[in-house]
Amino acid sequence: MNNFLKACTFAGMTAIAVSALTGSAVAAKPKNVYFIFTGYAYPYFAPMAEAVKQAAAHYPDMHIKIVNADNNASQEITDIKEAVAAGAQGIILNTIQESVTFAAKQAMQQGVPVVTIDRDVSNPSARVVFIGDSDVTLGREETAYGIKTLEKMNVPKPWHVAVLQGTLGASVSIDRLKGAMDVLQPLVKSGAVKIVLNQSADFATNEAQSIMSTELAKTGNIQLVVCANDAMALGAINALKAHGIASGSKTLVVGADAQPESLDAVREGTQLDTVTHSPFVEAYWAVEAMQNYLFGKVKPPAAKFPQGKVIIPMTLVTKANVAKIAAWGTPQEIPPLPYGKSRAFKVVPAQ
Amino acid sequence: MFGRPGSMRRPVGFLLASCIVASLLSPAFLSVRNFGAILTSSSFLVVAAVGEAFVIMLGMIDLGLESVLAAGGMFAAWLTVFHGVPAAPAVLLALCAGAGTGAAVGLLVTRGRIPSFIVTLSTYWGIRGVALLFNGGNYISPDSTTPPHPFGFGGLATNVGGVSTLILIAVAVVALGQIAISFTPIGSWVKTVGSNENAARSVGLSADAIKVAVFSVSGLLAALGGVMVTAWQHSIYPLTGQGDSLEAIAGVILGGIPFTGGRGSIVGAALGVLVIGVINDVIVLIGLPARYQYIFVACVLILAGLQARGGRWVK
Repeated sequence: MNNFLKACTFAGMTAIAVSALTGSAVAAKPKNVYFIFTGYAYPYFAPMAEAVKQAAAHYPDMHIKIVNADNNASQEITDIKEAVAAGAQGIILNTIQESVTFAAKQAMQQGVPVVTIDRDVSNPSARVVFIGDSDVTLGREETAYGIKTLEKMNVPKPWHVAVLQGTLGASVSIDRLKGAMDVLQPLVKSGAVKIVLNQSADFATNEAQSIMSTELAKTGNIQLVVCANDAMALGAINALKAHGIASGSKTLVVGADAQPESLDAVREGTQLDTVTHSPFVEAYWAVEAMQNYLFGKVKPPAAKFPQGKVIIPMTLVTKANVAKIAAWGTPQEIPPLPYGKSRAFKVVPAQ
Repeated sequence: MFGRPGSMRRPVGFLLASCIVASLLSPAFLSVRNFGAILTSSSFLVVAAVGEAFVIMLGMIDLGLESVLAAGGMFAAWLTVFHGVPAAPAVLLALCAGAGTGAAVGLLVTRGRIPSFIVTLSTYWGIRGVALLFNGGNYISPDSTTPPHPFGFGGLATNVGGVSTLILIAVAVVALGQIAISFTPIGSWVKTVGSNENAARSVGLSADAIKVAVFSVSGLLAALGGVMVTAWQHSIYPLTGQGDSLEAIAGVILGGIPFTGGRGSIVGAALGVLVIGVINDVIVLIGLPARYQYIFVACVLILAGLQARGGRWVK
């Protein structure tokens, strides 16, 4: 009997030891990461969310939960706090407004690393790294090409320019407007440009179309329409068409985002340019950046990326190069994150 | 001189006064082109506001209008672009979906005894969610497929004799709505239920059936507004029409229909919506700096609201 009991005990202890060893050899539970984003208010963010899902599939050691903050900064603050309370081990944050900075900082202080994407918080200590574009540069690029084209076409001055801003108070709107004004203001001072319209169309096609229709009812003498995004550019083009004005010859329209319809419009010549800042590149790099930090505490080297800002490649799209650009500027192969452990990914461009 | 509260003289008078002031601020206001621009851009909201007017006349409210508008447009576009459904049945299906949503709201209000504010707030969120499902959160346009596939109902946004078909549709909807209110038993049923539901039931009116029917009409007209805006802007976004619920309600109140219901006119509601269209138009024409536009809208709305004053007690 004693021998039997000894044998059972030995077998039991062996079983426990084997299962413990086996359990630890199995992959550890994936780390919970929250992607908190603007939501679907603007067309740009739908492909971003899709890209995060695609990128996450390459990293099974992270479980990424997508949270829609519905374009509401207060909601985003609540979402950040709830993510931390729910045990988030990382947050990829698509900042709606800088007002969420404090909540991001608190998350960092509570040991939850934050990677910001597309729009940054106002304090670098509130996040590990920022992956995104420079909206000021974007505004500058789209506008500068428009002005350069007017010059090349020998259009008599002063050039009448209409500016369609994005949502009032949104940092993206403010930055893109700043970029556009960096180009326009010196020309306004010299008398080469007259800004005949400067209104917010909320990044929306129908609002831009309404506002341009009203302006065109007043005057058709507009040489350049600067739109903070392609959705508004498309609305402006619709309005010009409805008023019998040839967009692309009599009036130039410029935009940003490389929205699919805008690429068609650039191809057709009704839109002069757009600027890519691929949501796919941003999303893949953000997921990789989170992976690097969670599993290796790797941050971007300060010398190469001051203040931890990693700016994605941006391309001015015109008729000359539009054939090479896919929807939303998505490259066929996402380049590797420019630091840490990373690789290139082949992707299917979003529609 | 301006009529009693709820009289159509008030919104007519205010709209005329607004137009006079607008033309003094910007001579460009008084042009056929500008009027065309105002009427065209307001047409979808006018159509949706007719439905809201019926609901408010009943003493209820529909907060989900803008979501049904967006989802209606998305549904019609999804059917034609992704599934090759011909335009006419696609539009019809979208209108039926809108009506069905409204009917569901009506049943929840009547059988479920849930206040319309809560039910339609839930449709505001829920139907907005449905709109996001059609194309993974993305917008839909003829270029959403390869090769591109046109909507097929773009003809809703052309011109007939120099007048936008969108304006003609809005006028037809307002006319039908006003005829229903003024010259058919529907009008007295709606107003009776709105002013005194118990009295309406005591004379044999089926208040519940009337409510379900009215919410169905509201849903159908919101979906029609969505189809119209889709044809106009050659695309539809899941969140197109954000803010339209409040604007429609504001237009209806400015047009003389009180929140308590029981009276008012459809033409008045349409004129109330046009007041909002004029405000947006003037902002552009006078070149108001963008940062001041919300304050300007608030001030003008208060002024507009003065003409919509009711009797002694105002909620």
